[in-house]
Amino acid sequence: MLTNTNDRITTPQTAVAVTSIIIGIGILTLPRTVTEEVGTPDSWISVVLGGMVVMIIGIFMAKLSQMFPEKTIYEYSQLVVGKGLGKLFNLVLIIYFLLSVGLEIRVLAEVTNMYLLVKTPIEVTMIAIMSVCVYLVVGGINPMARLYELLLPVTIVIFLLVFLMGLKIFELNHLRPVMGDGFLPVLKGIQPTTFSYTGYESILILTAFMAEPKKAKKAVLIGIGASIVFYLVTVVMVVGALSADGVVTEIWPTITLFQSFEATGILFERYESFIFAIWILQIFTTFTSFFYFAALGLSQTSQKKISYSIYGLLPVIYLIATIPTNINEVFTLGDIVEYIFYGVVGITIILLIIAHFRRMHHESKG
Amino acid sequence: MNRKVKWIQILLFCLSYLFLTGCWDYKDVEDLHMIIGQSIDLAEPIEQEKDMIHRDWLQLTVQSVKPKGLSGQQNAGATMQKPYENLTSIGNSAIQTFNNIYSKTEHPFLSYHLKAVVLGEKLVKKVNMQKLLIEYSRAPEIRGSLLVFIGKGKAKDILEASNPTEVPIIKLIGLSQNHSVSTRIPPEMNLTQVEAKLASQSNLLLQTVEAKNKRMIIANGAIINGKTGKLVGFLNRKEIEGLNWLTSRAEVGVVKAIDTEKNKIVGYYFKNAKSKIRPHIQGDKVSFDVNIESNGSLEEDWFIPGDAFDNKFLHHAERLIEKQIKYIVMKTIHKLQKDYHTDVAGFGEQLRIEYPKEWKKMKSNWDQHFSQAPIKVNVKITITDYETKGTKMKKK
Amino acid sequence: MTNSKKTMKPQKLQARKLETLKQKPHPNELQSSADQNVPDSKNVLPNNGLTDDLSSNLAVLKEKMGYQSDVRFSEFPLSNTEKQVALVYIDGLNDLTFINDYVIKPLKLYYSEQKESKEEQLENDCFIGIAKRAFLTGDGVEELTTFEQVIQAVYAGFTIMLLEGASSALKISAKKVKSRPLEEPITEATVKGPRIGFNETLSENTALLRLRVSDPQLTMTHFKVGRTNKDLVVVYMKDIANDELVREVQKRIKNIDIDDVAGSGYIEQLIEDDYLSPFPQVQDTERPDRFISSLMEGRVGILLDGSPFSLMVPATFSMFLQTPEDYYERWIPSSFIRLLRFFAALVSLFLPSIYIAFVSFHQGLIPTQLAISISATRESVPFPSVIEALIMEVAIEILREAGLRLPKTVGQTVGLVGGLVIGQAAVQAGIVSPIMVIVVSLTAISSFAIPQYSAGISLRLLRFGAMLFSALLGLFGVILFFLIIAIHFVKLKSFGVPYATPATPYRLGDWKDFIFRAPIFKMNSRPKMLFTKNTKRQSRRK
Repeated sequence: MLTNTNDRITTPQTAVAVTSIIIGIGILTLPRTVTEEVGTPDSWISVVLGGMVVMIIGIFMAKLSQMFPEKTIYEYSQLVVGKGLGKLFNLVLIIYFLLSVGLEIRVLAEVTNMYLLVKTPIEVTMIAIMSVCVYLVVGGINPMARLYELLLPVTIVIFLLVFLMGLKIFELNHLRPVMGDGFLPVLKGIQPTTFSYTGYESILILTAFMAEPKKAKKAVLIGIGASIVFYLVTVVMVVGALSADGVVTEIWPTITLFQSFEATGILFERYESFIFAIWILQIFTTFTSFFYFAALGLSQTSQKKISYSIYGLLPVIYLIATIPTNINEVFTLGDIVEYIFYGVVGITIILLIIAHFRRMHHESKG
Repeated sequence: MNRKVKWIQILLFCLSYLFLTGCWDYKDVEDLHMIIGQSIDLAEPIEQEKDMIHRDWLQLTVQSVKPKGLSGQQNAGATMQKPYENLTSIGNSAIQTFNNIYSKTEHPFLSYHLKAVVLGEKLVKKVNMQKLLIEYSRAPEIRGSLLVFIGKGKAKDILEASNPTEVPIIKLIGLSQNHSVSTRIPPEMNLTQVEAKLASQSNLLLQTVEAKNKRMIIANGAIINGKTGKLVGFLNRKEIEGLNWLTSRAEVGVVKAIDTEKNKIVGYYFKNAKSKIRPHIQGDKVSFDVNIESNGSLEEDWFIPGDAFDNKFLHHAERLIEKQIKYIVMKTIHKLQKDYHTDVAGFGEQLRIEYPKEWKKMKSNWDQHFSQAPIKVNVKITITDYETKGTKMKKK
Repeated sequence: MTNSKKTMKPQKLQARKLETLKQKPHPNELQSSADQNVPDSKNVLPNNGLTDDLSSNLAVLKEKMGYQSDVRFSEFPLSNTEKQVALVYIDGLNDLTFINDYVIKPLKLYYSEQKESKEEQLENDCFIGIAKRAFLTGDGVEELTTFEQVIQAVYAGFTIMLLEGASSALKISAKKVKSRPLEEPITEATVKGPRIGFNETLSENTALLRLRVSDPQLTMTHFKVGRTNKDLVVVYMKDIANDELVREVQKRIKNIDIDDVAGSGYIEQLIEDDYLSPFPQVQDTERPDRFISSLMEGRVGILLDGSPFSLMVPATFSMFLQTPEDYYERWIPSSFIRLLRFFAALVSLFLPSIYIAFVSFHQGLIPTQLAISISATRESVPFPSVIEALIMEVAIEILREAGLRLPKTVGQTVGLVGGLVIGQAAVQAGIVSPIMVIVVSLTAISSFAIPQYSAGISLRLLRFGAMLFSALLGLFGVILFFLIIAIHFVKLKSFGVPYATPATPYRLGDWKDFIFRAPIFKMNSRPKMLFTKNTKRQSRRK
């Protein structure tokens, strides 16, 4: 009532949301996935370059969304390419979000059941986290943005403290030589990195909720920038501690890093519980957003109330999450999501071009 | 918000938690056998299973703590309880052996606090270490901070070498930290480090522990070949000292040199030591320069006090100590190059960093290249002070 | 008419006599005389106007209120005139000395003077006119013309004066309310702050506010709530508080429809946003300084007659971790203490659950030495850690509740016996492990460190939820519970202001008074979260 921006989110909230959505599985797996491709200790350069590539795509996406103020991609896609094609595109996007949610819930459950709750059935973990997720999502975008703002400082503080502890086993030699094999391996690493940055596409939808849509570009840049720092610190610390050769054999290298040292004499000797805590929080932010986006897409495409699509999509997500029978299939699902994601990026750019040539600048003058 | 939706949510919560409740993982800490250390030895095959000769037989000893015995909560009158318990079993894989142990105890094991594993000398000579350790690194409950030792003689004896009030493994871990105060102890290696070295096929040096008359001694270093994962040989204390100088691992310590002309001893207490290995490539020949720099204080007077105590003497002392350090280092290098043909001093690492392309070529048979590489050692010592005169031999 | 009073000398009509008069209302006599002029008193509607016949008026009033044992009717002549005058009032609510000294006496004097000059003046003059001339010095007197008004006024505690020959009644405010002195509030003691608190009397409270804020912008609007017609005042700074907020508060108060509001807690529960939330959404205080400072921030305050607790809206969670003390102490120690309180809030919410999670689920995540010592102390404990924790937590809550209601000295004994003796004995008997005792006491002490009672209660309540989640799913459960609380926290709003502000949405200006308290000269603007009309608190220091 006081805030007349009832369904609007501020620019910092958008930036925080972008960061929170980007940071997810990557904290635990990125050092491995990128080093696998790079093969040298230069993976951190790939992380930075990949982030920059992502920034450019993010700007394009923000630009596209700014053309259609107060409209999400689900609404304007139909304006740009017509009802039929637009709906098809929406469907692809919804499937992408749904698969991502399923994948992330599964990964969350896998890690939890590996390290925290060995005997608890994995379904319990998944249903428990999904019910919390629904509780947030039914509140709409505003509580979500506020929750992300609440969680991000906590994450940053714990993350930095815990990684400072990790300096104990950090060896600079593991990161050397810089570009000993030339630039080619670095380039190879960009592709897996960009996938770890997925989440910035949320700007396609978030812009519609922004109180100041003009600042969408700034928000997405800051959001991606912050996540580059997160991922950079992670990769540098993990590769620096485990060496490039050691990283590739670890499924969850970051957890391995924190299991590799004990800081005796300080209150806590073992720090992986902190990493679990902030990682669960951050992955929660990621999949709740994706869940919300999928439900929003479904409701905007089908013109039904969003609460129907939220409750309706729950079983679908649960099914997706239970499809993979082992961890390798989980990663295969990840690959599938990745391919769909590239498709989404491609279509978005096509949308941008078409919209540009059809001069659909609408009422947004700025 | 719609009130109905709200109630649905609340209902959903309650239902999910009511039906999902189970406390599957609930297990109080006192009901668990806390494993703190293990040792693996090569064992004679069990009689009835002798046909499976294609596998090596392992003797696994598991040491668990008895918290009551350790925390001093015993009643005075009661008989002293040993603070630990060792259980041994034989099998042909670590998992099988471990499961065998379950038949000997009433409580489930808790391996989160496994702190050290001692591998028997004979075993590591025969079996690839990577095979032995893979089960440790794979189990999520076992931490990478697990320290790896090579046990001279029978590894099992080490788990029994302590006085009855101590837990041998806790003592062993305490001992392993001493490399920071002594130059003659190699740095400890944990599972993650060992795994990383083995994964990159580089050689490594592990702390060796020995039980002499029920006393635990950390002494030599065991050289493990990175490719085969097998034990190559040991370095004695002197050689470890040389190696520590080479790898900048020496933090503080004392070096003694003898002035042969005057037959006087010079004691040098160093506060820091840095070494830099510089590889050089000429054609396909590789050579190394090692520059060791250190400064510290003169600890032992070598002339009668009151004698001309000026820089000249200090420089003389510096030369003497430099010679001594160079001698120690060269001896170690010689042993590594000629006896063991194994590089554990990080020469290859430096080559990888400085000449990554050449390293790629030489990587596959690096130890061969290393054995033939000429190595030049330069030592530069700066004596900054001579402590307080008159307080001789304080630090020994 | 009433002859029995004729003999009384006016000079002797002292307060003491009035006392005796009110005990002898002589209803029968009055009734008989009233019968002449009021043909059917039962049919007279109360909203009918008063007549100029005193006895008939009295008869009607007695008909309406005579059955009330505490309504007193007293009738007496004015000095040596034949004029009869009557007082109607509720026993005990009115200051009879005041009436006698400032109403009866001047009136008598007036008549004795009048008698000599103009005998029949009164008949033509209206009552209020006489009153004005005779004794009226200020406010507090009002003319009533209908029976309904009269009856209402009597029940509201006023003294009603009827005069022979006047067709109106006077409402005289001579309320005599016993009020507690303005003492230091017990629930919110401070070291350096003013030692004054609100009491149960609304007028004294509002007077206190006026005394402290002599600014015409301090606005008070009056409301009556409930059947009991309790007085309620909404206080705000007109040029600061957001109009919409004020309107919303007034709207919600107007909507209150209840028999009785016994205390401000009723109001709090009737105007709060989410009745399902465990968090308090309205802040209460007994301290005028705190109340005023929140008015200055742009909040709206509510004072209720009969309750020393004033309410302030909108409330945000960080308010519950602040005390006025924070501003009286220098900013560095205050910031430190604030930080400590946030930490205490976290400890009191999560410590037992984290203990359960680590001891019963993730023994691998605690330091080895600690694991060994916990294991050693728990060896003889027959219960699982959850049950142990529940027993201890419930015990300490009971102890606390027991100590709270008892007299201070006994309460301390209960705390001592319960805490020390039982705790020690339980440990020695091996029912509870010493570490559990440490955990529980740390939790309890941390919850005492939260300055606001209502916030402390909600955290204590949530602690049990956290323990339950922890017992089911270990650390994962604790994280889930944290998420649920956090989600509820960000969804909750108090009068349109997100409850989590200023933690989220980010408003850096508001963070000057959040976990840290900036130096006072740096706090130049009012909290942005309240959307105040006037944002500047002070000009920048040169």
